[in-house]
Amino acid sequence: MIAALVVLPIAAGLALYLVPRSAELTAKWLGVLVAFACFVIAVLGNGQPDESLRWLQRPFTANLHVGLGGLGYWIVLLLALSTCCALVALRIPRQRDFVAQMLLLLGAMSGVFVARDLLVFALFWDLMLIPVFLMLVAWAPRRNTATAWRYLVYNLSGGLALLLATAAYGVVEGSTDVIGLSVGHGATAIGAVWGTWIFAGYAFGFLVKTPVWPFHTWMPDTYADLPPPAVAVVSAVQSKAGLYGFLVVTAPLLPDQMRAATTLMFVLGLVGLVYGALVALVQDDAKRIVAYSSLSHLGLILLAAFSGNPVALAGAAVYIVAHGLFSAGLFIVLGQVEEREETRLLSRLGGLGEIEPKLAGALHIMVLAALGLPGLCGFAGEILILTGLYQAGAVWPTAIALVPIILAAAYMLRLFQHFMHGPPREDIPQRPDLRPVELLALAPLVVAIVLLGVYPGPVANSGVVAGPNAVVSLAIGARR
Amino acid sequence: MPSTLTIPWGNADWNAILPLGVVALTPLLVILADLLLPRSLRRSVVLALAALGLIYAGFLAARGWGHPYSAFGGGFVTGGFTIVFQEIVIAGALFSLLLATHLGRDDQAGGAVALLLWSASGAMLMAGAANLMTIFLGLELLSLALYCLCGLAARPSAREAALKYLILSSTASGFMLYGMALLFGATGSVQLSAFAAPAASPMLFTLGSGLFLIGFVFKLSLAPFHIWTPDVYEGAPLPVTAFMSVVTKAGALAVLARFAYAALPQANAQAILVPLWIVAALSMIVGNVGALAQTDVKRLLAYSGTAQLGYVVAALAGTTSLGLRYAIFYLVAYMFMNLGAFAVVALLSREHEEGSHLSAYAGLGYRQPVLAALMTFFLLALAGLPPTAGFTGKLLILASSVDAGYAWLAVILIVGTAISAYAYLKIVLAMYARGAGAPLQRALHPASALPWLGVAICAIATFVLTFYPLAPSDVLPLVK
Amino acid sequence: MNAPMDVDVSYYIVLSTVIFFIGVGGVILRRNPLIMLMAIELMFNAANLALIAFARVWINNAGQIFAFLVITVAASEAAIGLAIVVVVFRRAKNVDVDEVAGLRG
Repeated sequence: MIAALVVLPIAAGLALYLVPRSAELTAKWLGVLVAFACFVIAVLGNGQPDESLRWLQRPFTANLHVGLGGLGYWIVLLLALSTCCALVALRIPRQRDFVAQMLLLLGAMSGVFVARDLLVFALFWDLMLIPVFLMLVAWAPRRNTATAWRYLVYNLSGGLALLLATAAYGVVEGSTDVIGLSVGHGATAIGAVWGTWIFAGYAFGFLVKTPVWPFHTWMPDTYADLPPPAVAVVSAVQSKAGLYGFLVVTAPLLPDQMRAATTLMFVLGLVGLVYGALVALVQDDAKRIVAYSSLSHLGLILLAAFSGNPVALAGAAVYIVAHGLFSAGLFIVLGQVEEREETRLLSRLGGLGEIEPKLAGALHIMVLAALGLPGLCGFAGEILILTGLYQAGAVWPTAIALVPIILAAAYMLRLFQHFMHGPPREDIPQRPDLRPVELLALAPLVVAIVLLGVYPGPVANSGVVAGPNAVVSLAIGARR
Repeated sequence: MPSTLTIPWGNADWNAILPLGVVALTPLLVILADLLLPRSLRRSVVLALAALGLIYAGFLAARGWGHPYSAFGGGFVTGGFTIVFQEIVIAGALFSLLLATHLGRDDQAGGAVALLLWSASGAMLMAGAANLMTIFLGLELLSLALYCLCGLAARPSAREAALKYLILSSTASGFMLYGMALLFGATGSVQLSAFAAPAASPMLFTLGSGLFLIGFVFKLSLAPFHIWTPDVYEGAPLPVTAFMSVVTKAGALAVLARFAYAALPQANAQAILVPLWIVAALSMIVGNVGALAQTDVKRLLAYSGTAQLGYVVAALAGTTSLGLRYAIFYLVAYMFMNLGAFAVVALLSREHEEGSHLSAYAGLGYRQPVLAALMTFFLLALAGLPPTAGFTGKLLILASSVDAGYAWLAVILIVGTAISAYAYLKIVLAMYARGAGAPLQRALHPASALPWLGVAICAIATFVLTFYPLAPSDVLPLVK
Repeated sequence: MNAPMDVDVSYYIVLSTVIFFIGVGGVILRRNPLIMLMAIELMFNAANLALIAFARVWINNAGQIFAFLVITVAASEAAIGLAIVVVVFRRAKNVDVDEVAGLRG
């Protein structure tokens, strides 16, 4: 059943190539159906027993082991939901091929979050590169393939470092079937020499994927060049894979190394936090504003992940899901703007609010969630993280982290203001407002944003506090 | 220490050389059929006969599992090691036959197929060779037939390739032979088993094994003796190139592995082999960097072969039993993914033009979606990305290198893989990028059923081996 | 190493080494494929000489049998080599490998 989360979308994505190329609507709704089915499977599969098949016995034990629960469960839900919404709103050339790639991406990314074996994790980690690379190649604006290469070079380097670390972990420990275990619960502490190198491999993979400053340079271009439905899913979920990795893989398995790296990660996270916010302030391209704002928000989650404080970790879980929801929403809305006005530059747009009130309303909700308005999901995550950081004694980082959160209001409102207010521009086409189907695409996201904002409890409690050193494993609840 | 040679009349002797004998005698039937049959039937009957002979030989070889025989006075031994390599040779030759639907003119087909089989029988002899004479004989049988096969195509580049291969390969044989003479001088025996004892003259032994290894580094086209490979691969007819890329390498690797595992004195084995590991490291880098600039798929696969064999030799680094198993596994995986790519090239070939230039792939994703998807799959496998046997194979090699204390080889392997991704995905990019050059409307080769069969088998095997890495046990080379 | 003969075996080994390096030099320096093939034959025969000399040292006739094998293989190698040279240079005026450079290394 849990394996179906991986197998179904991949099989469906491949089978979609049998649908005639001209049957674009069929392809789209089949894709929506599969993504929705994944959502239902995930809901039903939460807390179900793990599924495992023998893979390798030598040189170390590795199993095709999948399970659903903890933080992974919420991210899989987020993934299925955002894919579903992105596909509902879809209008793109060569639609069938695009839907197929989106389903392959859905399957590969589900694999990352249901993996209970490090090798399975590494396999899907590398696999999820490929659909994104192909989408960057085949739907690149201006036939520009440089972005695809940059995406590949960065993420493959990270993926290979992770693979090498996995191989080393397997050789040292004798088994990679350890996700969800923590040191003392079956896994054993790794010696200092190997542990440092293995942690370095994992951390590099995670930092590139998230991305964290200074490994972020692939990200703005990739987000700008990917078609909006794809970037919605990639920014909502793929960027969380790295943080999920820190919380669920390295925190329980390599706690000493995590602790040793705290200062470094705090510095990287804070620099990213401030740098992302400052750059987002001056961008002209709306997608790049959101891209840099992601850099900023993800830096905050990185701080939480390394704080070791239970409240901050609960906040990280909430903010991971929250950021996924509003960034998916933002990118979908920006896609709708671009589809209508054929541009997404702040300097070229203005006054859309008068012509297209529904579009303005949708963008408004997403922007408010992103800047952390109380009552919406962004706030719940931010306040938990900041409280936790303060409790953990990191006073200065908390103070510094407050600045970009205030700046978020500035750049997000600037985006909204340039698009929606002011006199309508004469030189942009007059287009109809959002169609019902496009509203349908956004409605589930809006509902989820509000729900998570007022009732973050289930997500916040998806982790279980373990051990005296207050290391929280967000996957322990799922390991049976 | 005088030794006598017995004449191979014993029962065990016949059992040992039976598969080899079948492959060596089938060409006589092939030539007979070629003489007697009308022209229209000739090619199909010749191919069928050759395939039947190979399959029968494969069956006979498999039946010998668990019955170690020896022939030629201990010069040829069977056992798990020999059988595995013989089966790889047979499979490689069979796949080359699948691609041979347009090898040479119709009236050359019989001769060409006969030479191919003789060449394969040389490689099979090498697989079981346990003394210097049989090694030399097998190698020359393999090479002499290949010199002729290289020059089969009717274009000048084929003749040039044949000449280059002849001169360079013979020179390498000369080095190897002189090395053999010195080894004989150092130990007083031509049996590999006699080498394990400390040599009478260690200096002579080191010198001899050095020259001997140079010859095999050349045959495996490892850097720095890989320069001939791209030219010969480009010039030779496609089925011959495919044959060389697997069969020659399997034969040479069998000898190398037997020499490294069974023949070297334990005390100084590592000292003698260290240059070989450096060569492997160099190959991983040089092969992958060389592949970057290639615009011809055959040349690309030549450089790729250099790098991939570098991975295989890296697996042997610790001369551990696991390392040998994973080297064999990777060789099998390489056979499938590499021959799959060759089969795709064969499908894109036309009468006088092989479909190996990059331009033949522009827009292939839109003209031949299935073929393009399969080619993508094979290229991902060669690049070591999931879900392919290349991924699992590389992981196993990484693990065995770390295990054997050669972590630096694992790191170089990772670096090489990162470089190679660019080379392979360049073709993927060409297939899927929009409007990269005017796509030629090419029809597929009319006689394409056989290459399609090859593509299908290779694709299935490449996928299945990912999750069922059949690394045969009991493959340590026996030297009695 | 007291072989029962007037000339010490080491002289044969030295001679064979010299012949081997003449062969290597020929392959590297000469540009005529016929001469290159002859140089390769020199390398093979240097090995033969060494094999026979060592067979004498160890009183093991495997070396001599090996030498016979090498002679036959070298003969077939020469036959095939000459055939290829003829095919390549059938239309060329000069027999020179530098003329054959359509494929870039």
